Amino acid sequence: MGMPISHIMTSGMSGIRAAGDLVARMQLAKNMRIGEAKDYVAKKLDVTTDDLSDEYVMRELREDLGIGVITSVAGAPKGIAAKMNIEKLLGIDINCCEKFRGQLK
Amino acid sequence: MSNQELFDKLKDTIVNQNINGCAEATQEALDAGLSPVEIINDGLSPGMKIIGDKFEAAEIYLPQIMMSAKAMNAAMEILLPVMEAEKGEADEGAGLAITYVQEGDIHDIGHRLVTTMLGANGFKIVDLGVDVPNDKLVDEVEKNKGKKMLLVGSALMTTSMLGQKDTVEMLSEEGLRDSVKIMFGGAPVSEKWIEEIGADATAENAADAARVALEIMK
Amino acid sequence: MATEYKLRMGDGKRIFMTKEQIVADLKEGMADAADLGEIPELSEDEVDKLADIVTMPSRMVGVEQGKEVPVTHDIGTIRIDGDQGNSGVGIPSSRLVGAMMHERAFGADTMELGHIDYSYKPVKPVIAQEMQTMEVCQQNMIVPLLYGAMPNMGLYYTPDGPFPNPGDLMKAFKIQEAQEAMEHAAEHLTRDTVWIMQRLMSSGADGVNFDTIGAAGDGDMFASLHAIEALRKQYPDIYIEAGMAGELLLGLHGEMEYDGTVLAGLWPHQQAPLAAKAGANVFGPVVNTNTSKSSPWNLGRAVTFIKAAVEASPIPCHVNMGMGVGGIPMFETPTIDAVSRASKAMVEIAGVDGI
Repeated sequence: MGMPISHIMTSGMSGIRAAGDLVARMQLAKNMRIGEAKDYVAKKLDVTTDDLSDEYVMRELREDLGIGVITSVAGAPKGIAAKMNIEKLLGIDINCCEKFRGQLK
Repeated sequence: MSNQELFDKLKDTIVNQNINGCAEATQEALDAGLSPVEIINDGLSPGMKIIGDKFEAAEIYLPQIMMSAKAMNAAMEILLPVMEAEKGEADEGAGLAITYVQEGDIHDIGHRLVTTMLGANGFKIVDLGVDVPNDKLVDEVEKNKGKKMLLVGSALMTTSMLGQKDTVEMLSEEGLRDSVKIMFGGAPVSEKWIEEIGADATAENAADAARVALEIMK
Repeated sequence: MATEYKLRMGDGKRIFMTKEQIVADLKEGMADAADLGEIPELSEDEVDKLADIVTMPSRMVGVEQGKEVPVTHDIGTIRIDGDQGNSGVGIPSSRLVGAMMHERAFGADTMELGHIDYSYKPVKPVIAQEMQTMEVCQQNMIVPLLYGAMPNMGLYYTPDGPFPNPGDLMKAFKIQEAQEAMEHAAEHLTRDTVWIMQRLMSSGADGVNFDTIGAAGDGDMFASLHAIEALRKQYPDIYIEAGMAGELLLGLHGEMEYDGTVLAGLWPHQQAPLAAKAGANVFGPVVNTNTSKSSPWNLGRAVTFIKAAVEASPIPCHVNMGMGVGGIPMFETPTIDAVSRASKAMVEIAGVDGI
């Protein structure tokens, strides 16, 4: 367990504590290299690329945008609801959101 | 054809995986008056050394090294009867090689390669397989006490490599250490480790293992 | 007396080295990689920076602010609930709990779902459970969640599978039969992987992680590349990670090709373009750790190989940095000082897109 945590502490973008999930999503969805993915997400969030790893900046912004926060804020979008907001924010389709929409009557 | 030309021909048949050619070149060398030991040491073994180096440098792959081993095997099938006839019935050839993978380890590609190479180089083989506990090794050495014997252990992982130290200690405790030469191989095994645990040798790859084995069993 | 720094051997053991010895080992490891892979050596500045990183006095180091990269995760939640004597810590928990712990407690940038055996073939009989679990995880999670397992083509040979074992056949010098067994196994592996991922995509998976491609040699990669190609064709938006098993693709078959390239003997910088060509989004290069060498030797070597792979790759490279790879000691509980230094070096010198 210490190994992945060490990597996250040394080099990681902190996932949904900051904006690591969004940058990773653009790498995976559009083959973006690290610089391109950071530029893309920063532009969509209207922040600097440094802000993407800054928990202070991202904490409130994530809550405002409804894209999921790490603490259990009552009423804040979670799971698929948060990912549907990420779809709109980043301009991509997410498979589980598509499936969710397909199940609605 | 000069002796050097005969040696070069033998070497080339190994390097080019020419199985029939290797057998023919071996017979030709015998007919020209070369001894089996000269044929092995100056013709076939240098070929296997080149193959080992090429394998190490990823210039050739497993099927090619196995074909070279098969060529070597074809040569040894001709040479072994001659060597036995020269030395008499009691001679044990290169010796008995007990090969195995250390307890806790099931990675056997290297083990299989080395076993094949030793067989192709005139060793009689007892292959104990993978995940072999030290007790079983000691029993096997005890059973073959008095024979010209080589223990060849493989370990891919550092954790299983540590068991090699116990192997040497257990053989010493049972009074069997002097009855057998010990070679260890595998990714984590180094010369320093061999020295530290009191084994006899290691080798960089399967072809080299056969060369080293023949050397320490002289 | 020259200052000595606290470092590690490749097996994790504590050693002490002078700066001179460290630089010598860094250069020796670098030269080994450059020689084997026929790739450029690091510059003097890069070697100096590597030496600075490994000699930093603090126990843990970190990348410069602003240079952070996504950290992706393989082995699913096995590191939480696994208790098979591997790197798992044996905490009884559901896989949803394990995945959410990674997302919400550890700050992971992506996560994956995997089952306890962690090979694709045994997923088939438990596919319904995997689909249900994927659906439940996707309903609760926010980070990209892939399905991951090892191609592990060895499971298609006797005694575990239907085809004769090439190891036995090779030993009997039945070379052609061994190659045919590998070709048949590869076909089945491709088919099974695609079948499994079709079902997991219908359950909302973000994509797939091929973990330890090539563990069973070139046939293993052949099958994986064809599976990637088929999945990309069927699902244009699927996320695909292609992670390798080792630095050198072992030529057990020796003659298999993909896109006109012989697979046997490929190094990381040669593997990356093929993974991209097949349709992967992220490539995971691997460099193995030599337990008999020092951490500077291993790090110099690993950074040289990975830098070349990052430069040759048309897609993002997330370097594999688990135990025994990427300059990290081969030890069940790799020391934090070594992990942290290797991590920083890969980001700042090799220029990886992620870990």
